[in-house]
Amino acid sequence: MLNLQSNTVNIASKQFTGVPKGATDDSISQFMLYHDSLNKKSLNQTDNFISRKTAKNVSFGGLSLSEVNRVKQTRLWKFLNNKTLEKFISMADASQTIFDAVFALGITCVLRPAAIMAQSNEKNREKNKKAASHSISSGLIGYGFAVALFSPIKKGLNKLKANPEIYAKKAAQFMGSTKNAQTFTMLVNKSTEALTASVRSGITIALIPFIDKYLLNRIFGTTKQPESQKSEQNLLQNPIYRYSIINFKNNAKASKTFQYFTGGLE
Amino acid sequence: MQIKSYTYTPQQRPVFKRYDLATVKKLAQETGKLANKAGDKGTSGIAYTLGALASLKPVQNLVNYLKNKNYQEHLAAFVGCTLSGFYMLDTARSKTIEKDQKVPLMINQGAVCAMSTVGAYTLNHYLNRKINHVAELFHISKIEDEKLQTKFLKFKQDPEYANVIERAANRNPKFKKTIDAIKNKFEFTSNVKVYLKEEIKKHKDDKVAQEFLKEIKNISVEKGKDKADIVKEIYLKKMTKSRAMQAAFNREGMNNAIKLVAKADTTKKLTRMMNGFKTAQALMVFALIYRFVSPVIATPIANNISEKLENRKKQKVK
Repeated sequence: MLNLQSNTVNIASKQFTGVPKGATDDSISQFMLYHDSLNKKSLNQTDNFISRKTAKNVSFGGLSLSEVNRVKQTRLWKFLNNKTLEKFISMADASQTIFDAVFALGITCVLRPAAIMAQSNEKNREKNKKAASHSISSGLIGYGFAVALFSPIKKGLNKLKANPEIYAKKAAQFMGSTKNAQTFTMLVNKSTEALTASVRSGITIALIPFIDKYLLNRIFGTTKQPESQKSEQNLLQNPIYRYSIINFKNNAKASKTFQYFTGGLE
Repeated sequence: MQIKSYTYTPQQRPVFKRYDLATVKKLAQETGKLANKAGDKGTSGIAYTLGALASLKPVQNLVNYLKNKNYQEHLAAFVGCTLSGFYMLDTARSKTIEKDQKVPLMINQGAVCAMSTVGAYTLNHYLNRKINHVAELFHISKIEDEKLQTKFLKFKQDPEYANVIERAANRNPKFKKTIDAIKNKFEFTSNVKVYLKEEIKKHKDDKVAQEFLKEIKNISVEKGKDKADIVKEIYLKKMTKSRAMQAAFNREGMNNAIKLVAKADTTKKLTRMMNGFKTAQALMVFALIYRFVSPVIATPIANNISEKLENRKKQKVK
């Protein structure tokens, strides 16, 4: 019996408030006297306090506080409150362009080629190698252009947006409205990307054979062409004549039947 | 005779170092400062040139023309396709890539481009909808004041909670000022459109909201007026009759209120977290899908197509 009682006390203590009428949950501590806090347990044991609805239990917006608590117990909420996630995100905030570029490099130079090469068999290895080296070279070029061109332009745009009256004296009013500024930044970013597209693709494609030769071939090896094809081609181009037939020199080795024949004893 | 006492005092040998750590640090700092200065000058130079560009009449006209249109997606798709087109052209022209490898690589590049553009038009909307909720929850979870946090959580769970807040605001003049400021800040952005579409799915019999979405598609804009302002006026008029529109309005209000809380925070932790989440979300979802998933899926497809093409060629030759 005693154990049971202590259990009920535990449940009740959550629901305790000795609050006068009209008090919100913000002002509970004001109305709580010192001796109340001392006698909290003894007060709770009486049935009146358990059955009474407290300010916390009354829902104002059609939603009780327990609904909020239910959200707080979901996995998503716990994941969002994770400390490592917080660190990761503060890192992302501190150095946006570098974080972006490094992440892109990681994907294009390690993850994607690895995933592509993992799918390959002997038949399509060469093709997959080309796809992988394309990914690596595009990642490298993307990183280079992001650091050298796109991020300075981004910074310049931010400066222009922050104080248009310094950087654009004539167009200060025009850049003052947020909608105009937004459209302008989008236009500048995309047009620089479009204008540099031919250069970027030229360098990227030119890099592919080098990456193939110096990186991927060393890791995965070169797959030889099937021998039958090779020998046919070679035979047509430079035919081999077996002189041994004419020469008789190597005949002894070639024919097993006369292996032990040394001539007749007469 | 006295013996001279001799105590051995080891001579301090001079330590020769190739470099001093302190000087290296100083050098690094100074070069860093110089680089920063140079970078600063460079970026402000870029800002000046961009400012000059913005003051040109044709550019302003172009911006004014594009401002009222939903151009962002099309522009991004266009840039992606031009880059892929150049890739394919350059592979076809390349002298160093083996001839039999050119076709599969070109097909691969084309397939990646097609998948990415299709994904951008279809998948983005879906993902944005999902991520918006997660982002809102994340922002709320980083509010340090627990009472405020629970209030925002209630709001997130049930947009009707806005009515309670409004009643409370009517009693308290200080509170009312901030609520009015948040209300006045409302604009019909692309985010609000997403919210509204989501709410329409919940309230399927809400015809006012559906009519509104149709109406804004063909609005004639007078000269010297922003389309956004006209749309906002119509929205505020129609909002009284539609529950979905009210809910979307309230949700936008909640997000603006979170921004206000972030601004008031002296440590600026919340704003940092919000900005960081934005970059991380763009990276984790969109970069991962378009840089990793779609190319990895595209390669076997491209390989199959190129193999079939090769087989056909062989048959023709025979």
